[in-house]
Amino acid sequence: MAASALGLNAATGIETIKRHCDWPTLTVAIAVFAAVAVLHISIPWVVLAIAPLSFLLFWLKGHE
Amino acid sequence: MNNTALALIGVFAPLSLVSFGGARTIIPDIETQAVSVHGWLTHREFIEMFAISRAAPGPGVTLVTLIGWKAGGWLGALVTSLAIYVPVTLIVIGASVLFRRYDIPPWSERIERAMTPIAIGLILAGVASVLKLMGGTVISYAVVGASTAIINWRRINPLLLLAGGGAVYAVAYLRT
Repeated sequence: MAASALGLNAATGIETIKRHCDWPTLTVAIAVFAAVAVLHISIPWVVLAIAPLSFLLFWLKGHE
Repeated sequence: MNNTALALIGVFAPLSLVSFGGARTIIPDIETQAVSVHGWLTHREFIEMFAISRAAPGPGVTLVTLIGWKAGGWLGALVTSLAIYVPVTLIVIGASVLFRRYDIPPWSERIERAMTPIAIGLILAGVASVLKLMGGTVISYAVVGASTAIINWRRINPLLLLAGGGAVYAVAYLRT
């Protein structure tokens, strides 16, 4: 059951990527995934560091 | 209030502030803190509670309440639930009052847009984190992959999907 529950979570993530498939979304999502799943950095620190970067990337995209 | 209750508040109140997209987004830290740092539950218990919280009706943060209950009984369940709900609720109320009072909808849209990929990365990191806890077996990867594909292909009842995953594991267990 846990594996199926993980599938539900993964499906939510993939569905959201499909709806917002642009370069800032992919860049930020990959950076967050790498920081948390690979480097095991605590989530509050990751959000504090990457949220301003995400705002900047979307601001830059808005001016393209 | 005992030390366990204070420790539960200390762990879950900060996580509440960054739970954009619900409890799914903070699973890696919940697992690290509850299993590795504080030893409130074993890997196996974490996986079981995760499955129960997804199968049970109600919000996904049921997982947090279950961890609180396991760590500190009814008091633990109560303080953990409050620690995960209250901070984020206050932020949402405060933000909605600000946005309404100063009429700044473009900012609310920008914030939502910038936080979406963070939620995506955290959800997928949570999947990787629990998958690793499950031992990374072929069957677990297969069930996760199949469940993801099925739910993206057809909007079926999640309970059927959970039951199907359980059945696959039961058959695999009986064959060994």
